[in-house]
Amino acid sequence: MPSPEQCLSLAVLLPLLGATFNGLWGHRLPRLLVSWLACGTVLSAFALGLYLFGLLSADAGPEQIRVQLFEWIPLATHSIHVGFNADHLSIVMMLVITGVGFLIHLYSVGYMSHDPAFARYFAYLNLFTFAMLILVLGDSLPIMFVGWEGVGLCSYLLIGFWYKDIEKSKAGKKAFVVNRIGDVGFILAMLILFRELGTLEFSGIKEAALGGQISVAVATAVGLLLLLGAAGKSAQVPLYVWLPDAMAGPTPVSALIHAATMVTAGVYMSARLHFVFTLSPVAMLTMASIGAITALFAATIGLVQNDIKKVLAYSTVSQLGFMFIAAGVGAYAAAVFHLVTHAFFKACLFLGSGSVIHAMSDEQDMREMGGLWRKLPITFATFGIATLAIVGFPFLSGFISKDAILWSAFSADAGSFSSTFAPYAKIIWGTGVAAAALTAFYMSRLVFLTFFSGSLRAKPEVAAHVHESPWTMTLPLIVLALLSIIAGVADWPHVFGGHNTFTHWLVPAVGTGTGVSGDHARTEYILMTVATLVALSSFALAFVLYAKKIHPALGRFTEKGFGQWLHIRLFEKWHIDELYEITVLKPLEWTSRLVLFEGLDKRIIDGLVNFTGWLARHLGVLGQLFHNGNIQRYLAIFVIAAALLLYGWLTPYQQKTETSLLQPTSNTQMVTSKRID
Amino acid sequence: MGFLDTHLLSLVIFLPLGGALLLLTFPRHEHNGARGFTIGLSLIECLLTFMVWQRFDATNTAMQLVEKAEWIPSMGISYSLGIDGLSILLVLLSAALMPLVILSTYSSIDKYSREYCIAMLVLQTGMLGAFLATDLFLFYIFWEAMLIPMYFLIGIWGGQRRIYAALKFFLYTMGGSLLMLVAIIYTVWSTKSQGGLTFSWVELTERLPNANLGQAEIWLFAAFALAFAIKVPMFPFHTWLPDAHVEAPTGGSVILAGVLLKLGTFGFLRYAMWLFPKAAVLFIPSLTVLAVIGIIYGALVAMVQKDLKRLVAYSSVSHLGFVMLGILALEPTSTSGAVIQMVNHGISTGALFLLVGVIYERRHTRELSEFGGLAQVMPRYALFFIIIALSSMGLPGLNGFVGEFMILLGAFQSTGLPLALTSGDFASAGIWLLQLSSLLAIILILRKVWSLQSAEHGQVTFIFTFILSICSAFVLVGPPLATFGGGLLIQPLLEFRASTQPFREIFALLSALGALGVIFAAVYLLIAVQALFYGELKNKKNQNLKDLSGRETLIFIPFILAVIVLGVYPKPCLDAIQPTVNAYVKHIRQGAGLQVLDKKVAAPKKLQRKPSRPTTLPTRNIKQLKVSPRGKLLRRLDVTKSNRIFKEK
Repeated sequence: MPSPEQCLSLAVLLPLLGATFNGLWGHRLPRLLVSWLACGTVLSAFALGLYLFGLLSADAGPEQIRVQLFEWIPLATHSIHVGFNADHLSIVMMLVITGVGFLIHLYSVGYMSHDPAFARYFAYLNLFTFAMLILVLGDSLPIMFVGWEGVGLCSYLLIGFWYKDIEKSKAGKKAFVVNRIGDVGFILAMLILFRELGTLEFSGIKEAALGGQISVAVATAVGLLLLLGAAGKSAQVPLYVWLPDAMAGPTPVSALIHAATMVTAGVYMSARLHFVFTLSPVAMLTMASIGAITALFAATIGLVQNDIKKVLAYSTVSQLGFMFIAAGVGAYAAAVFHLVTHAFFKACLFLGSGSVIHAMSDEQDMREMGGLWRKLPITFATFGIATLAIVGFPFLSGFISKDAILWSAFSADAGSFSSTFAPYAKIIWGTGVAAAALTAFYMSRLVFLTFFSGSLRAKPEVAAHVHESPWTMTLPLIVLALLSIIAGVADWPHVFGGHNTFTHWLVPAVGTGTGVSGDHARTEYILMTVATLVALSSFALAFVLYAKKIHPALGRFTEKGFGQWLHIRLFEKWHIDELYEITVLKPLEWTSRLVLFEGLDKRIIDGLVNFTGWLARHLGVLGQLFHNGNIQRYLAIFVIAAALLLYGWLTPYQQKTETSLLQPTSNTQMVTSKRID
Repeated sequence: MGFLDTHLLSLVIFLPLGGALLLLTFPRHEHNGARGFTIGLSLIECLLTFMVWQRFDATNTAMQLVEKAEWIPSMGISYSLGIDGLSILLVLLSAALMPLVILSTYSSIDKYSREYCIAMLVLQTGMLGAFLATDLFLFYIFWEAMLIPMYFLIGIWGGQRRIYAALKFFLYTMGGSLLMLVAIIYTVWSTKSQGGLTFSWVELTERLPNANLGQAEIWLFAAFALAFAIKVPMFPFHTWLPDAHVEAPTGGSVILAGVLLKLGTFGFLRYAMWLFPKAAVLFIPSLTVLAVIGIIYGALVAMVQKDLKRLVAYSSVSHLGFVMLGILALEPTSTSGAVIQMVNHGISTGALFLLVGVIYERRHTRELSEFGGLAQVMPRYALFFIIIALSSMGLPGLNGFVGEFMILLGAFQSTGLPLALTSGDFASAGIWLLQLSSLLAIILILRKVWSLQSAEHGQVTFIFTFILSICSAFVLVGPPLATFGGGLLIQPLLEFRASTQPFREIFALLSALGALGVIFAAVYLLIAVQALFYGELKNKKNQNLKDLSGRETLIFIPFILAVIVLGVYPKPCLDAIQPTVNAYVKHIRQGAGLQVLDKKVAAPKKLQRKPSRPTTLPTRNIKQLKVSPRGKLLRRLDVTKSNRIFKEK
């Protein structure tokens, strides 16, 4: 039996092995072998994760399992080592990544079965798992950054997987570049931390932070810069724009990377570095505000989209906003718990939508769907369960985790960060509730438009092919749906007689959270009821408007006046893409092209250079006048020059002899006599 | 083996030249014979440099494998060679690139192959000699000798405008190096009183601190710096580079980017800053600003290029800006990062030029718009290109990241340099810059908005113009308001900045700005990747392109391996250079009278926070200094007793 440290390294390296093998030789291997290899490595990593989880949760078990493989970058103070660390937080992430990852690998076997680039797809997917494991298990910021950029790369490759479609590859590029903006924040945060502390290992930073060596100003700077990185990776305002476009990738990719795992990296990072964030009120408040704004803002856009994946994309952005709220108010356990439950139900939703799209011959427009529940019963059932989870139907997983977040936001002005959130806690809570209401509406609308609202509206040839998916696709759906139902048990709250097991599990890694003490059962009940009622009324509204058929009142509302204005703004996503285009992209391009390249580079600098050359040549032209090969001209020049010389020879001589006569012993005489010689 | 032990470096330098002479005896139009011979020779050369690597002792910071012989004793000129941690990797790189370059000529060069090989070999002798010479005269000879084969490489095997490019390259570089020659002679002359003339680098290192150069040191440094800055090339002396690259044949570009440019950065450390440290620190602020401008400027201009090779050429300007930033920060980490980044850039950009060459041989064009969808017909090529592009944009795990990250880490914490602008200066400069750029942006945007008015953006643009004008009003009016005590939003920001220690010093800010280059690097490389490989295969001419042949694959495998190995396990290389680089930094800092950043002892330090940085100048004292005619320079100088030499006599 290998040691736990070896298991940890092995778990990280297995997916890399799969990626290398499938990437280099996969196209020559039979598909079955490729899929076994891809799924097998991830499943083995999951098994190893479970083993490590068992070790960590044992009564006398270690608090963390840490391994340092080799020295990566030698530095004067703390060299950067390639090292991994499984503690209570990262093991949860590892299990989500490999567990949900395995289900999605399995689903992909069915989903991608007709694709010619089958092996390349699984190579990328395994590479992603590898990078994501490095991200969550890395024991220092640079190693985390390796994974951070690595997942960005895989995201880029997988969004643009069908590269023949230029729009898809453009979406990939956009994702990479927007993430890079965030990455610069990450890099700068590392630079500041290294300068202040001389180390980038989490253990060292934690020690310094708890030892009071990080001033508030530094923590604020680091916190805000890291937040920029997190906003990029986790698609928060103002860097969320890449995620909706990222839906160009294959649907399982959207489920794995752009819903369950990669986009939650920002949340994970803030939990990982909670000791820095909690030092800075500004950073925390900014984080919570960004989360609240994003949660609401993205939900508004989700209300009117017609593309089934776009709705889910905005829903993801919005749900990530909830996680940011939780992390911002210091309730890291709630944030991570929502991350886990979201991974279950959102993965289920995406895979379900994939199943629908697969059945509908790649049609993604909900206006073409309708009444599918008869034809796709398993998909419908699992999708419905996941929808109930996300809208916060009582006692499902989403209800438990979202409620924990709303409660932490509401009570943020009473806990250990009360001074930070004194006037804002209730606003953030209110925004969260509003976002939850919108969530309930757009998710219900999605379900009604897809599975109900009359009969199928698609073309007959599409309709004829509608079929339930094979078992490799439905099995993951069923597992994820079950998880969406029961995952709440893991953190069953006190008010329902539970023990908040998950929160307690995370205490060694993320601390005790907001630290609201005392008995608030009554307030909690009231808040839950409010949230549930709000969600239910949204559901009811959606039912009226979309369940049977699209209600005519809706059309009347959106055809004129304010309704029309609003509808256009929402449908056009508040024109944010155009705003960036006009304010950032175009000016940058024009400046680079017109001012820098054509102006400065070609005209001014090169102009000066060429002018120097021109000057030299044209000064040469003056000399040319004397050397044109004309004998008469030479003779003339000779005569003139001789005359001049003669003149010069004679005149100064006389003058100088005169002067030398006056001063017979001076040097002048010697000079003149030399000239005569 | 006795000869090898004593004359290994000479052998390394002159083996290629000997090979070139032998090549003259080859039949004229027999292409493959010459190529095969050259490849064999350059492989032997690789073996020799590998022997150098084996004999090299990383812990020894002095010159190693030294050779010395009198040459022109009456003028103190000697034939002396030596290698240290600064040059070892560059020597290895120069040797390793050559066989791959020649291997690429099987398809890229179809006329005068023999002469091409001769030029390449002579060039190699020049490069290696310049890296290994420890005599200033010898260095200058090799330095100039490199120009001649390169001139012919561009001028004979180049593209359409090759004559213009060759001439521009030659004159640009020559202009700088002539001044350097003058400076060399002056330097040697001024130390004559200390035991006769000598051009020896080691001797001069010992003599120069005692030589009373006075004001001249500034000019001497400037002359050296100009020669090297042109070679690097630093903004604004970079315009020869795109032309030279675009016109040069593939192999010429590879050597030019891979090795020749490194001679500039190498020269800064080995000669300019090493010999004249006191003058160097006076120039560091402006040079660093130029380096950072280069990073961003190169990247932005690369972003809008339509010619693939020109794009790669401008990316070199950006990358070399990083290297310069690392060198100028004079901090062990950043300078080591700069040296390793020289090697990384040589590998990544060299490979990129070779890749560009592959596509150029097939289609005889490099216009990005001619391509698209190539991944369908050339999958292996696409894979290699993408890996190299990722390494060039500094993806962690590949080689580019290690150097860039070390440079930024080091530069960000570089201290003791006399750069402490007062935060007031800093704020007002920033605000001015902000206002200026926002004004520019507004003009440009309004121009565009007007042209869009009738298009589909109609309603949208109105709203954005509105938002824009509010924003711009804020930007334009905000700072003055802040100055006069109003400015609700700006004031806290300013206070925050003032209370954050790291932001006080300019290097931190400059490296932060440099880090932005990382974004643009991703942009221009992904633009290139997208334009080449993705989308439909629209252009009919591209439909029958062949993927990489076995020979071409053989060229790129070493690059890919190097990219991965140096990215994952750069320790052996870093271990080889770090002691020497630390010694360089220490020497330069000591010579300039700056705080020496010694290897800090880790464990106790991290628990104790330094109360403040001792080297940050108290702002008021600076302003109270008497302003002499060169007061502006003096004001920036960390005035300690040892560098009073700039005082007027």
